[in-house]
Amino acid sequence: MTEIPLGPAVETEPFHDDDLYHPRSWLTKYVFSQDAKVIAIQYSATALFLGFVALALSWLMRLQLGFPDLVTFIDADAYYQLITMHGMMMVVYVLTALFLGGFGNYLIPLMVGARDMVFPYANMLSFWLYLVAVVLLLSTFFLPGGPTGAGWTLYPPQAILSGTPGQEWGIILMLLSLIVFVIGFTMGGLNYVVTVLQGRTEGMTLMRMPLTVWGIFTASVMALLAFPALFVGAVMMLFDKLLGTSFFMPALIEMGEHLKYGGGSPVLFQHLFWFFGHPEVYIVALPAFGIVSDLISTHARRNIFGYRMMVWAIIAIGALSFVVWAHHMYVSGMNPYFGFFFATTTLIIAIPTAIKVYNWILTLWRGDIHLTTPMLFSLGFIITFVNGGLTGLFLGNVVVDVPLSDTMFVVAHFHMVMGVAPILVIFGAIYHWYPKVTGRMLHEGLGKLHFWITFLGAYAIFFPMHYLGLIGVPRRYHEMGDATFFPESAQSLNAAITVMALVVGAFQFVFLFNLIWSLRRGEPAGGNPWRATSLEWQTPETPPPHGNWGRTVPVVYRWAYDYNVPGAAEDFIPQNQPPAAAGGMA
Amino acid sequence: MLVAFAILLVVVGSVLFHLLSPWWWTPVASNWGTIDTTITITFWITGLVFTAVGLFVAYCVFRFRHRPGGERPIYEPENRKLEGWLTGLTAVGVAAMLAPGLLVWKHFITVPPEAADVEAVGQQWQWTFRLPGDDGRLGRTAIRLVGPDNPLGIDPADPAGSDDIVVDGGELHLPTGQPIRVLLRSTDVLHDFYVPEFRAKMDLIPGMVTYFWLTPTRSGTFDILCAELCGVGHAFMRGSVVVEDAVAYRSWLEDQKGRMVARLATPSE
Amino acid sequence: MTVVLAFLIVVAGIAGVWLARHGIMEKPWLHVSPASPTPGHGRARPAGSPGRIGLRVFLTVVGALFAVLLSANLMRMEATDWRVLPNLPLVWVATAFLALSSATLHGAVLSARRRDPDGFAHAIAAATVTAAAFLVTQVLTWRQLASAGVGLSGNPAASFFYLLTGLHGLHIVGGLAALGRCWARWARTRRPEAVREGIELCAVYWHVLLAIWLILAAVLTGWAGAFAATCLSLVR
Repeated sequence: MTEIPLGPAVETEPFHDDDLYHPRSWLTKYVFSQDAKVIAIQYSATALFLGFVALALSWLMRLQLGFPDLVTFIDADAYYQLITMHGMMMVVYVLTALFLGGFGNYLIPLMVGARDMVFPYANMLSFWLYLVAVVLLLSTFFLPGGPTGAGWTLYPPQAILSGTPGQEWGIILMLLSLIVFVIGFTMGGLNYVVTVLQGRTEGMTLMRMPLTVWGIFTASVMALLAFPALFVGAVMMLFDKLLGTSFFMPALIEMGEHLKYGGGSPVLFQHLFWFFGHPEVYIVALPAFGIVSDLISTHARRNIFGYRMMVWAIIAIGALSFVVWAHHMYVSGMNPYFGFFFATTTLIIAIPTAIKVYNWILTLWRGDIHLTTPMLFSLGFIITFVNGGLTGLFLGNVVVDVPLSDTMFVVAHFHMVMGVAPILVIFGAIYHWYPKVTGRMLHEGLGKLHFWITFLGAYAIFFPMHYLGLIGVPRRYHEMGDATFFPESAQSLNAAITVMALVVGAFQFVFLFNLIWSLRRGEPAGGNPWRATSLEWQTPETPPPHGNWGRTVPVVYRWAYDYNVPGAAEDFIPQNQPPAAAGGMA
Repeated sequence: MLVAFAILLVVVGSVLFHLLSPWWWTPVASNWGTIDTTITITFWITGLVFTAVGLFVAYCVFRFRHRPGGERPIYEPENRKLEGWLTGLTAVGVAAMLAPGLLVWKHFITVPPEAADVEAVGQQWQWTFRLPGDDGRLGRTAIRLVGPDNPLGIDPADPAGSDDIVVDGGELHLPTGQPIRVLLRSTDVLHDFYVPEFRAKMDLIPGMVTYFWLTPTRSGTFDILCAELCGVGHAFMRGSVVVEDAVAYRSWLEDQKGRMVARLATPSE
Repeated sequence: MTVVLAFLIVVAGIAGVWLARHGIMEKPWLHVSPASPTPGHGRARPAGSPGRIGLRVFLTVVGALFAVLLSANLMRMEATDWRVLPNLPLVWVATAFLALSSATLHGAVLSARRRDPDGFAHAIAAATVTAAAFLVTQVLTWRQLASAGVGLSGNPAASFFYLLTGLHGLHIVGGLAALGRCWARWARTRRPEAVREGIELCAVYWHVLLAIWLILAAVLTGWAGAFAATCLSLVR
């Protein structure tokens, strides 16, 4: 690895020590830290822990689905609690928190050349509120009645009535937890957005930002605009549950008894929920799109193909995702004429999304593909994302959705597209940036083992599951029971899926082991092991200390994708390298 | 290298699974075979795209994998012409799926005037049905009227409701060839009326009457499932629908009328 | 969801103009220099204070929150059990207090710019008192409504009234906390310049909350509905 001479240390912004918050004790350095990098690790560790909890829940529910006669300790109540908690944890508390709170906090300041987030104190509060939300959520496991079993969509009236498990404390604490999460996220989200707007270093124009920053930035903007709908829905349902209002509750009979509610609209809640819920899909997907673009470009040693189109596509997807929410409600009894509008907008979103896929695979074309672990996960992402994206065209096209909605086809689709695909990116990203965070490489052999089992196993779980939905198996059934349309052989398919889920889940512990083992035993990585161009790899020290850049912040001269520039001496030119030192075209 | 073959395996395996596995939709029993057609169109287009992308990735990985002394990658920031073509082609593919989908949707939401009404009422966790009497009209209902004597909340003040036929026990009969508008009502939480063989489904919303329509085309007995989570009994909320020819249907209807008269004669136990 | 969609269209428009002015069309691989390749547009280095931008972004989030609530209010209104609230004169008293608070806070900004410590102290004191009076009037309105037999549950119009005014009140309380920090710094330094940026941010926050309040009051008292009906009848 040759050292590349970087430009003269331009004293652009003298480093005023007192500008930055300074940790004075162990407690303020590692616990109540205001350093975005420490907060990132706190967010990631909490989210990964919850991810493993959610994994354990999925094992239990798969056992029930695969072997309903053997697994007698899971009844309908427990099954509904398992799916609800698994879904809510994964979508909100794991994926959103990891991509924005974890990767966003770590990468945004480093990638745009800032010393830290612009509001470090609010950033710290954001994590602690997130932790409170997580504690509220987990506490329902230990309270009378247990967690709510209303499904992660929490549709009223069923969510707050008897006949649904967890209607004592489970639903109340779930709603409170979501409210706290939204408040906490808003504090973090303000940081991510304003740091990109205001914290960029000299020369870091918008179009020189790596796509990772574009993805996380756009997702943060969307989250800031979409989460209020979830907040409002949660507050209103809490009022209905505790104070007897009828926002969502029509006149109805609960177990033979007339309740005092009247006039409310359950469909109103669905509108609020999906007004948050659909952008949420892209809040998870856009950071994954951005990150995977950078992984592919770096490990294929080629500039990302069609950078401008990639940026425009991210923005277009972000904007369009606010006008497609009702495609989750085609059979909800809303005005059927909405179907024409929402089917059209939904299918239009496929176009910018397809452009992103084409540009990823065209970046591979005539590249120099290093099959490192991050690259393998990126390839796995492309295949699973294309698969899951294409099945989205079934469900978005209103009349095709009619037979498939509420079946296992939907479950298979969203797990492939917003479960497996983004999680493969998360793994790839962790293998990619772990050396920067810790100074050591993750073990490649274990990483590859982890990749093979996770990619092939997860595909084998969710691809066949679509066909259960085509047969007509509804989702959220803890067992199929007797049904004339359900062939005996389909149950054996269910059992096979369960076995695969157990195996894939077990191998995630290899990853956990790798994370811990490599902390001490991993190969020392150096500052830029992947020979990447973006700023985070150019820090004077690895791992970067508080303040990131030492005495001077870097000055940016070029975009983030100068790989294999014709005539250049090296196969990459860092963003902060001035023209004279680089040679080549320029 | 290995990963190129793995991707190839995934693509070929997926196509083979699709073609050879025994798991496929049930034969359609209503006029909504057109929905199956749109699904088939979607399968063709998406299948082609998936195969093409997968094979291209596998080829790239095989051909351009890192080798010592291999060729140097090209430096090509963008290619507007290629990107334009790909965008255009994608738009055509999307339109080819959307257009038939919207046409069938238009048909799906346009109830023919000759359609006969049938009401399905969901309650945790059972199905009850109501058919209009000789006047062909269903009487008004209200949730506040629901009680042990009047499980569907039929308004006694409405003469149209006096000859309504209530079918409990969860078995509904329908005649073949007759367009049916299924009116859906719930007295407690959300449910969803779903018969896989009919392809159509719709949520039941308390406080609202929702509907869909179909024409049964094939005789047989089919399961009615609830497809919207409605509490712990969700998976067991079953009913059945018997599709039969007009003669058999008429005799079943007369039988139900007789039961209704008998029930009214002995109001409550 | 029309209100929130209209709100988002405005946000998207602003974002679009901003992106266009910051070189969203440029080809970044053609230029190697710390300067921006888009002449006249797109500064190479962002300017402005993070606090100012942060407040704008935060107010957009607040706007989205109330837009969603108003959308929900309008959708729920279509149900048959919606009954218009009794006449609430106190709402207009509260409006007057909030407007006064907003105006005096603007006065505080002007005094800070003039470096006039006396004027500044009077202005922020007046702003704080009127804001507190707004909150007290708010509580009195609730009590008046409750004593008229219109509780939280029952009439959905009342449920929305309590919910929306309550959330708005919480935002004012938050604003008062920020104003309190300005007070503390003022007490320490006695220099209006030292708290100038803080007071300017508070003033912007107050103006926006006043605007939101006016919209809420118009919708919740049924005044907006009556106005819209009149306009429609004129068109017909």
